[in-house]
Amino acid sequence: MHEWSLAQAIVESVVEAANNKKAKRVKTLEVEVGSLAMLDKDIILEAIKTLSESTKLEGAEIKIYEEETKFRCKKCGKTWSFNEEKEEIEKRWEDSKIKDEYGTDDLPIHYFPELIFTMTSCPSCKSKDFEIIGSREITIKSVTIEV
Amino acid sequence: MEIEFKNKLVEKNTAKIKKIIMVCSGKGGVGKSIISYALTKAISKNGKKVGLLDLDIHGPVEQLFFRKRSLFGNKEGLEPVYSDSIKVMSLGFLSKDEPIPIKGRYKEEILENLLSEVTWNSLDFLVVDMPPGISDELFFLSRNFREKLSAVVVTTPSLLSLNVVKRMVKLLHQEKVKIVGIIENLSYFVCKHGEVIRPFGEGVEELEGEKVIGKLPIDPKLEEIVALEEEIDYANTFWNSIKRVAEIIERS
Ligand SMILES: [Zn+2]
Repeated sequence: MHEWSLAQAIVESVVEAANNKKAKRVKTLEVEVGSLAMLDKDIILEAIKTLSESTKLEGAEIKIYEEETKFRCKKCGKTWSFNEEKEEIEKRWEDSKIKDEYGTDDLPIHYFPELIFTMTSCPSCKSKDFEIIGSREITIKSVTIEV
Repeated sequence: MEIEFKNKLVEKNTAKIKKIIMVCSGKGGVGKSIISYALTKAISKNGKKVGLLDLDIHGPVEQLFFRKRSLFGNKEGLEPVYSDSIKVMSLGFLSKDEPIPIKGRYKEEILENLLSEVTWNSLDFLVVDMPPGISDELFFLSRNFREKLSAVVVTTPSLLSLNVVKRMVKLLHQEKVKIVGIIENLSYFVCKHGEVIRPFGEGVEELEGEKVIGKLPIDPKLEEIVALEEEIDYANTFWNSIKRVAEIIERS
């Protein structure tokens, strides 16, 4: 549950970029969250809104959307999605979950999405030689400013 | 407009670390991991605040030296395991005994997260157990921590090991990473009759202009530290030499 610190880094970076471009304010901000990191997008939205009060980001139109993380096996070509096997992974890695001060249990991929290579393999040939397609964590997709 | 923001988190979560010491080696199997652990322990016993980061992504072992092994999340990220007055982070805490086949660009990303997510808070020293050889990890640290970074390089006295380590030292010079010194491991042992035996060769006093700051003995008791969960000072000849090296690092 590190959504607040991610939000804070996003707000600081966007405000800094806006200042560098001598913008009056930020008009829109788009953030993409990959399903793999299991981030809570409502918390991120709330955090960004709260943290942007009295900055150039205040009042901007903020959009946060989730993108399903997919995988492609480099050996046999099989494509599959994280969401399909999420429940099964949660069960298998139950004892590796990380507790936090809010009482939430998070899988290690919440902090290190790339650990998915440890936690799963290709459903058809069992190889670990697969790649991640699309977003895996959180990225700023677009920012528009008013100069 | 594309904006990178992860670097902000790296800066924030490492801001209060005064010095980062990479423990490097040319080849594997020269004892880099146990030396990293022992140095951390010695620095901690001298009353300093110290952390230990296992950056050997594919073969993390530092978790094995600690009895406490659960990580906790906090508002800022992930709290390192706090055990024996040492803060530790290793992917070994999170991967059971499964392989960690992270390669290519994913490697760079997990390295970034290892530094952006872990909340070290204030430390006098962060000791980093590096993967053997010239690695992405090495470039990653030297790119991100110019000022507070320095290295110790571990070798054995064998000609093969010295040859590889020479290249490593040259690279560190080229990357302008400060070198505290060379540690020669598996240097000698003293037999029952008090005779000093050097089974792997005579070794050197310096390499590419860098001084050898410690010659560590072969101590058969070292293996038992992990196997029997003994304290590190149980391997007393090794421990006595490590303490002297730790003092040199602290003064550096
Ligand atoms: Zn496959």
